[in-house]
Amino acid sequence: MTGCDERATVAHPHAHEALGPEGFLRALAPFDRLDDDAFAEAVASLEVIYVPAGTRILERDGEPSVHLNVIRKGTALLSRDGVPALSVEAGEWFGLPSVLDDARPEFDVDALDDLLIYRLPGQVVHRLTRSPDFAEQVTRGLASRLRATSRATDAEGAPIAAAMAAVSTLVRRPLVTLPRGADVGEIARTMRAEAISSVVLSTEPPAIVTTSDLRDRVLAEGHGPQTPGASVASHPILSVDESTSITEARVTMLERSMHHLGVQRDGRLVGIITTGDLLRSDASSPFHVQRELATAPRDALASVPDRLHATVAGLLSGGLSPLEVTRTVSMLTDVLVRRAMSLAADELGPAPCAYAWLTLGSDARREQTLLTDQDHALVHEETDDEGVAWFHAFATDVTDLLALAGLPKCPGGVMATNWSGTIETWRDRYAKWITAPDVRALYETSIFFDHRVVAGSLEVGELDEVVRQHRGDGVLIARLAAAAGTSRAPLGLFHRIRSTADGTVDLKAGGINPIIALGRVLAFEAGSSVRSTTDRLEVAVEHGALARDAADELTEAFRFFQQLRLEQHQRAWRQRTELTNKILLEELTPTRRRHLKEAFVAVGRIQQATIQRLGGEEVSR
Amino acid sequence: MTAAFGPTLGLSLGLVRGRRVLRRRGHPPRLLALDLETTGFDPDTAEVIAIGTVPIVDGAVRIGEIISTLVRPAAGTAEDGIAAHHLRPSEVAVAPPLHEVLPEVLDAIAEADALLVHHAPLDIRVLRRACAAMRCRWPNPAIIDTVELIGRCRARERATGGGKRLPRDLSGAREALGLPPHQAHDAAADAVATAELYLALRARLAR
Repeated sequence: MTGCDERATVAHPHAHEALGPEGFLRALAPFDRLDDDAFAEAVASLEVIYVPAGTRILERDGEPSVHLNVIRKGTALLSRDGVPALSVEAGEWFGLPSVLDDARPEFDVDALDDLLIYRLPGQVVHRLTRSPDFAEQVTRGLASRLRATSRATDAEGAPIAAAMAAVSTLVRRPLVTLPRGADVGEIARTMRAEAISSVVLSTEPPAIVTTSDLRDRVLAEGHGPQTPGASVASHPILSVDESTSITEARVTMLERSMHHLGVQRDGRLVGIITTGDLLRSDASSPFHVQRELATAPRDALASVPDRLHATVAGLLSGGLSPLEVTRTVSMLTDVLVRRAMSLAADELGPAPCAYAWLTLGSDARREQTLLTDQDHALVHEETDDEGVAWFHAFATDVTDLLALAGLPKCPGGVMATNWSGTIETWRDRYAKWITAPDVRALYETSIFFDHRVVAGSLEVGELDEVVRQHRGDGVLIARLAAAAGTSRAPLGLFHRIRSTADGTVDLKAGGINPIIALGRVLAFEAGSSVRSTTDRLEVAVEHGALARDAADELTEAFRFFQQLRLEQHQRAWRQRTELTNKILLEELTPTRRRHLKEAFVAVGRIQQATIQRLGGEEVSR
Repeated sequence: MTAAFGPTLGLSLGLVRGRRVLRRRGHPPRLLALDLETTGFDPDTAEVIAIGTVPIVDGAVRIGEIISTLVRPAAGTAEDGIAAHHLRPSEVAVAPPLHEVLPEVLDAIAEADALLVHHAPLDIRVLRRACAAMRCRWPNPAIIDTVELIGRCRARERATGGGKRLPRDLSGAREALGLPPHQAHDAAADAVATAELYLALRARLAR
């Protein structure tokens, strides 16, 4: 919440996919929902047209469109009385009302630049709407469209999920290769340095030397370290494509009694997995990881991030919803924090008095991803200087251990090392923050309002009481609403997604944060101390503060953003690049891009309406 | 290669540096975009291994009327020529021979007001050679070559000092005109790509 986890690198862009009209349409929701016969019927009447920039395509109140026009390239602009209303971009369409209801266009439609359009005759679209899935997608609201996208059967989600269940998830490192002329001494030294059990020789085809080759074909035969590696190497390397399932790979290795298996991408060897990797993959279930974390010694903490990523990969590929995945990550983080605390207490001895360890922000809301850092605080009973010193040493050790386990320290310093104190101290802090006149400061400190006790026996419920006492304070609500406007959906002119110079959009800053802040102010208004954002939206609906539709749209948008983030983090982890919340717009399929835009538009609209209703606009001015 | 334009088209033609060029703005109502995949670039020996065509009617590319077929070349064709098209020799081996698919393609050509090809000379020569060998009548269509249209854009932009020169190759020209990437070396995809390129070039030349 305090901008602790902003990082600016981006995963490598994939080449833009080369899709002809048929392929493009097939991948585009809702056409991906059609059965083969219905789709073939659509393709039979599919046409491509080219519309030069500046052309008026449809006229408001003019003739109804006889086609559904899907944009493949370029931007069309919808406007009314010369006032631009909405841009329509690749993967989006216009002319649907005409086609479905024979209605006259409600907007003027102009080509902003040269358009390549795939169009379908109205009668054909009419017939397609007999398919319930298709009809739901073209006629229902955003929430159901987004929900449909996140279904496991989703045409574009499925390959990603499949890839995660695949052997590719086990490839932890780039291939270690040596020149074809390397001798076995060099091979053995490389194995030792890299802590691996095989090396690939760059012969054609590539050959592999394993530790058992060194034993059986070199040492046991009485050969020396100068033996040419190629003379003891095996080739071709038994390999499978990276999309092969882990189960299948295990069977392949068992059948041939091999301990090493090559993994290929596009026919090229990209990694070697071992029976050890397969064993570990079994162990990536959350239950196993939980047990392991609960007893992990200090020197095992460094392997925690890989274990957590493998777990998340397994959960996502198992079809778990992104919100359940983030709940699981929060649960595992709790176990890790408690383990770090008990390791620290082993060194420092028992605590001088009762205390509560609070986790803050996303972890407190159980919305944790693996791109996060430490946000926590400590509340303890009244104690002497020695006691205070103990808590400081304790917090320092826990913070260091968590850093070791892959949770970076918060650059903003929102950690128990800086933020500890008695319940009275904390009550005063809360009272001060909540009455702070500066909206920005209110936003910065709002991370503390999302807290959850992870460990310790001290009762801290009265902190929520401090907040609740202010629930009738209209001025405070207005300021919280204004604070909720600090983070906005990245929409530019005509609702186009505004990306940065490198073509990326920050899902957290532009999507997640606005929804979280809305949830927080709505929960405050309702006097509720529930933490999860989606629960807060439900509370607001029950309280009559938020329309059912709006809550559904925000919830589905939230789920969609989290899904994209989790996938992005997984990709970066597999490629060993830095994790980021930024996605390249170019990398999204047209359907996802359209949904992203719609989700941003919904967030922006509901945010503005809510802030206005609560009087946040006046405060901002 | 030296196809004459039919008088029904009402197109006046001129020779510019020995090349036929479409002069008038009038657009033939029905075009057929065609692409051949061949085993080589020598029009006298290249064998057809795939044909793709798609009609453009009143400026709309009719995807539902695509003709797309692999063709089994005569025996002894070099396999590397086939491999260059990402085809497996085994795929081509079970395809129909040219004499079985040619009549349908010639009918489609005859039905159109003009034939649209990217770099026409090679494909036209190969087709005419096939017609002669199989005793089919070559419908002698008017030819529109997108490479020549690119040349006209370049000439015009050279005259006006316009920025980057439009590449002559299909993928390069498409990219320069903002068209999406396509699946090159697939005859039907190349025919559609050529059709889209034609529409974009036409709009550009009309400016």
